[in-house]
Amino acid sequence: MTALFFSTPLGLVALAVPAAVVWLYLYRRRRQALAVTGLFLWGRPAPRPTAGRRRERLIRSPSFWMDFAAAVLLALAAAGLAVRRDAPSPVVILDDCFAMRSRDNHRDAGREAVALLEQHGKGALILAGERPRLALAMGDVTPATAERLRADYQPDARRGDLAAALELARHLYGPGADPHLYTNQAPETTPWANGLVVHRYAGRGGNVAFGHLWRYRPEPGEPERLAATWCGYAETPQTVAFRIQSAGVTVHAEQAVLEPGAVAAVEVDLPAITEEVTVSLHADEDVILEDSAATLPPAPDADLGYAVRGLTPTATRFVSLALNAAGLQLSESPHLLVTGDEDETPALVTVRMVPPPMNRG
Amino acid sequence: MESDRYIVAARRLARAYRLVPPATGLGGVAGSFLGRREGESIDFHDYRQYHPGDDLRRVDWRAYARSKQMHLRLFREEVSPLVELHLDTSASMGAYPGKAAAAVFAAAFLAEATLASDGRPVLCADGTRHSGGGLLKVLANCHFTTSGPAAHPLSTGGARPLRILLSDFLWEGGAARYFHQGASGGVGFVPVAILSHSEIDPPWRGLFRLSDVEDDAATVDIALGEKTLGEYKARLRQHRNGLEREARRYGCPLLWWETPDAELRDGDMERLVAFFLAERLVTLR
Repeated sequence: MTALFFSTPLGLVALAVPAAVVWLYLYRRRRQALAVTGLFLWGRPAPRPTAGRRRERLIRSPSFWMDFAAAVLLALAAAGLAVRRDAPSPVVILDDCFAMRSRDNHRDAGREAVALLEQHGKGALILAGERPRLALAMGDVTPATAERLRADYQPDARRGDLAAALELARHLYGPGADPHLYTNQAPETTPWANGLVVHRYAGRGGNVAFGHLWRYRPEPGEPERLAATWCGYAETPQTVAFRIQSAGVTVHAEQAVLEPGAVAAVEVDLPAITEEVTVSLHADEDVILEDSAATLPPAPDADLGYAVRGLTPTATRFVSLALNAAGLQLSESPHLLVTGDEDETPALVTVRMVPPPMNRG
Repeated sequence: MESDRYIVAARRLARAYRLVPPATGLGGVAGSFLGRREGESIDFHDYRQYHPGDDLRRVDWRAYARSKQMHLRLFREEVSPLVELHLDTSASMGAYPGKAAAAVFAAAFLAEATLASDGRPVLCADGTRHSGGGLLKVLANCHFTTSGPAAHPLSTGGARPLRILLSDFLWEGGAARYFHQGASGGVGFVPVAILSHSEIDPPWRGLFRLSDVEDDAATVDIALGEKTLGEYKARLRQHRNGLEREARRYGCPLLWWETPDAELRDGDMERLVAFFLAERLVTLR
């Protein structure tokens, strides 16, 4: 969108020049004065004004229009008439890698990126995950759209391919786009030699998260045990502490260095605790601790039974029971094949909740 | 204007010429022209009956021998003719140097030619009369600056003059009044119209605001081109025809002379003399 504007509005005073051109053409003596003898032989004489110039009829000759146009252009030039082209709508590339959650960078990045789009009222959003994803094609950014974008930005990709996302942006919106990159990486090369605005966030740390958590009784009547695994997604070794607390009292804690990609596991006997316990992982602030805490209720002291309804003689299902908390699979029963009868009698299944073999990666 | 040059040239050229008297009877002081009254010239005038006391030498004895009655032979008087040179000193006569020069030269030439005929030239200009030595002095200092047509009266008392009017006759309304005045109370009236070349064939082209040299109260905005110049020439022709009709009505021969715009050269003056000669205003001595 283009618009005209005057960089020196005071220069519009020069618009008096075209008016002066008109005045000159009205009052300029275009006819050469000539004194002759026997004026009556030349035609019907008209009375001569007693004083002042005589106003001539304005003849819109080519010279008049050229003089007038020149005066108008002079005035516009003096006023600094220019064409303002609105800045292109921004193209935002958001790093969708899980590492953006370090230090809660993803909250700042998401908020600022969407604010930029809201400011222009129009733009595009590309999420740079393992594969670039177009979250918003070049379109209007309404408040509702902005809210949705902020809510939907939950970076969880294993890695963010910034180069691919930037290439996609350039392909879609051309080299004249206004690209903005929000990341905590350092992009090595970009398709824009100039013009890419990088919003860099500090603290690209690793990520540690629980893989499995179980609080269980090996046999009914036996003391509880707690088993946990956690993984490190950092690119460097991270020192991670594991802690079990009950009613605010730490009942177990240990710390170890977790190598990149390694899986740590622990299995401890819980003292006679009848309340919930909280298990948590702790690392330095650069480490993203996502899925790093959970509250586990006491393990059942007996096998669990559950009923499966709605089965018919012809409906056979594999069923299993899983206990989950905060996105963590706490335990899972084996898969059992059950079938119904003609009366649709609920099938009773009894399972013992025991942890599966721990995968130490 | 080089008035002195024209006057000197006029006096030089006029040595070979004299004014031609008009056909009608002249009157005036004694001179070499035959007057209309009785005189002592040898030109027969009339007979009258003898009265006692008349000069017997004038009795026509042959007639007496035939008729046995005594009659005297009368002869015409010899007079010196009065020639009034009426010079239009309006601004239009001075609009072009050649026109003013032609008027001054013509007046000086005709005055000298009158003197060569034993006549008495009188210059009438700006409403005043000048004769004798003052005549040429007035001509030498003549300025064509008055406004309006020739305002000088053409009538005069005393002897019946030959009136010669030197003007351009460029005023609206005709010249009947002047022809009437000029022809009344005189033995003859010769109006001479002097126009410059640019007045007969204007050279200008383009957009002009015209004003009159004698009166700038009014103007005419005009685009001078072939069409408008043709219209001007038609009006000039019509004006001239009208003047000639009026002149004929009063028995005056209206003479037209076209003069250059610029100062006169010797050839121009000689051509003007030839013009006067051809029009029988002057003759060789």
